[in-house]
Amino acid sequence: MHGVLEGFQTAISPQLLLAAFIGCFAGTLVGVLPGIGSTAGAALVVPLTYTLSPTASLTMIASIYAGSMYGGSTTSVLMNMPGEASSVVATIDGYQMARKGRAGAALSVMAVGSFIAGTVGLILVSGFAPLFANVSLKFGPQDYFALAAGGLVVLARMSGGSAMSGLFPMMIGIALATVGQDAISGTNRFTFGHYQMALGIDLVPVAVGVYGLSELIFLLEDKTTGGKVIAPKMRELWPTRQEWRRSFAPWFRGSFIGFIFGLLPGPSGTLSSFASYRMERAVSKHRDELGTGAVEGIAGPEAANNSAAIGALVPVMSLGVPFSATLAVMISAMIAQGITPGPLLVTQHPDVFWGVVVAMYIGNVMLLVLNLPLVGIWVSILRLPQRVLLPCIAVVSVIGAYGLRESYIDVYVLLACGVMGYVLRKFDFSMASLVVGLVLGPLIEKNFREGLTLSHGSMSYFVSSPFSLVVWIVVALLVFWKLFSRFFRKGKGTSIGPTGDVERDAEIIEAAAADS
Amino acid sequence: MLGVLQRLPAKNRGRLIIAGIGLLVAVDYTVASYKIGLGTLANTKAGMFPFFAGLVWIVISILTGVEALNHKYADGSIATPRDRLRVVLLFALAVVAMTVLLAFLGQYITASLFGVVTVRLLGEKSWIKTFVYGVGIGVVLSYLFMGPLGVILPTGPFGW
Repeated sequence: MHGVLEGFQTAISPQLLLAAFIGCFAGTLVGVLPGIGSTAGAALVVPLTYTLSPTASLTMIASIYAGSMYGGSTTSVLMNMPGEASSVVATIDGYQMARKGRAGAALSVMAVGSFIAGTVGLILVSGFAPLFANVSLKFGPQDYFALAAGGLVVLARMSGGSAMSGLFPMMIGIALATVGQDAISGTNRFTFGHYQMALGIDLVPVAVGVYGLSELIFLLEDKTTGGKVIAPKMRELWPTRQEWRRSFAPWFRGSFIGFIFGLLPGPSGTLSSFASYRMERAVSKHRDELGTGAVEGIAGPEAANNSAAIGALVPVMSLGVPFSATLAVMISAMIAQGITPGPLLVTQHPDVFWGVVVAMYIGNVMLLVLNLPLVGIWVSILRLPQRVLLPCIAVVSVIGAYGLRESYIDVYVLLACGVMGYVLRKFDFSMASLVVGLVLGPLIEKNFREGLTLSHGSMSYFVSSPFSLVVWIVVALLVFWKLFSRFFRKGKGTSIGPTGDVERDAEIIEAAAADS
Repeated sequence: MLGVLQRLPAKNRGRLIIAGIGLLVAVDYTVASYKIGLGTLANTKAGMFPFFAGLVWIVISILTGVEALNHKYADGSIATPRDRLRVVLLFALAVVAMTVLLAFLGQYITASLFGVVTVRLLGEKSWIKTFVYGVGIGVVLSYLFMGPLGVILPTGPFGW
């Protein structure tokens, strides 16, 4: 509790509040706009945060994360187009509410749900993070290797699609992470004689390329982009008494579900929103109305994906292990600021740790206070024509890549990753594991080599502790069970869950809602 | 071999080709790692981790190919719609041109040229609006980043 109060003291400073405000605004903009997404949006902001204090820089990125999810859900409600995978569920009941003239109420329910999820998440983080940090202080290289490599494999497997859709890009990410100077011996690797390559491949051009630039081409290909926007009126923003009453329990259920998912590897925002929707279908008194514009269908999932974002801060801040692409960007920003995420962060930089956690909470309050009155602006932005929007995104992407290190190599990496991202996404490969692989690669290598040195070259060292053994057993079960079941069933699975394909997910959920 | 490829659905065929390219790159990467130097398991050198990563990448590339031959993927169009192909290619070309010209013309001129070309390409009919929007995009965004946000970007022959 002392840490939380300290965090509030740190966070309620003009600089941090401004960082949270700019982050929330930029994040919502990124979520609302087609073509950038939270990962590329956060990556573009990283170079701009170098002049800020570490806490302000991380606050801005955390606020972008929260804002982008809210923005993504806004387009789900107003246009039936999810801005993020975690907002797919919001299209079902959110858009139906909008068609019934309740778009404003749906946005308010989402914003209040985010605030409640933030409050619940904050209370849970204050309990879980020090616990994680204390436990992880006892970790050896074998445990960190299991956590980072095993977590990455699980993320790759759970990212959606077939077994290899996440594992293949994961290896590209790990290979890219080995480019540059070896941290231990100083040997240059895969630099092709370019001294600038010795610095390695930065996350920003890779993330902006595979998510941002490739998305522009998809938008150009899609003739249907730019659907009808349902614009809510200000007086419609206030939910009715019945809507308030029906939202209360789903908010809390979603918050707890989301937090637990946030602690685990995998696309926690997406998984938790699906899980919360399923929970509402199982326990809600109004389950028959789900799929037709029931407020429970938006209150629970929205609280869940926001709570998952806060829960996911626990492994990032206390273990230094990100389990999503956007959080990988946050780790990258921390390292650039000279802060090593991990168990010592809680004790050595408590101001940073608690400042960021509380700033994320304040970000949710800002979303509530600012974004509802600004709904008119978001609607106007949604109506921006492609011919203005797409050139802007392309120019900002190139500026972001070059401005990072004032290097043309980063611009060429951006282009190459844009092409690679377009081709891989076209064939249903998942990009999250590539980005997280790039960030976790050095951590995996460090612990791999340290482990081998400590054990005098014994590979059995990597399963020598109870924790590492359990992690690898769980990883093996998750990977091979799915792999074999896919081969046996020849991919005819119809279970409800995120496939990584937004349209497919929406179809599955809609079909499930129709069944109910 | 060609017969097998032709019988496969487009998505499987594409993934098989990607797996093949991945396999070639993975083999090259593994050989290059070996040349960097592995050391011993107890005393690793810079090539050891990439070497192991390369071996895993080779296995995963092979499994990706095997999966492409057996798996039924979700339906989805692969080809770019014919009427959008020209726009997609020209836009991609404009992005490439922007990155090349950046070093010679500087941020303001390059971004403005890119803005004019792409605004027109994406359907603006009026030349006046094309220039206003295009130059506006280039100048405003460049100023925002180079001015208030303090990002250092390439300057052209006129020093801006």
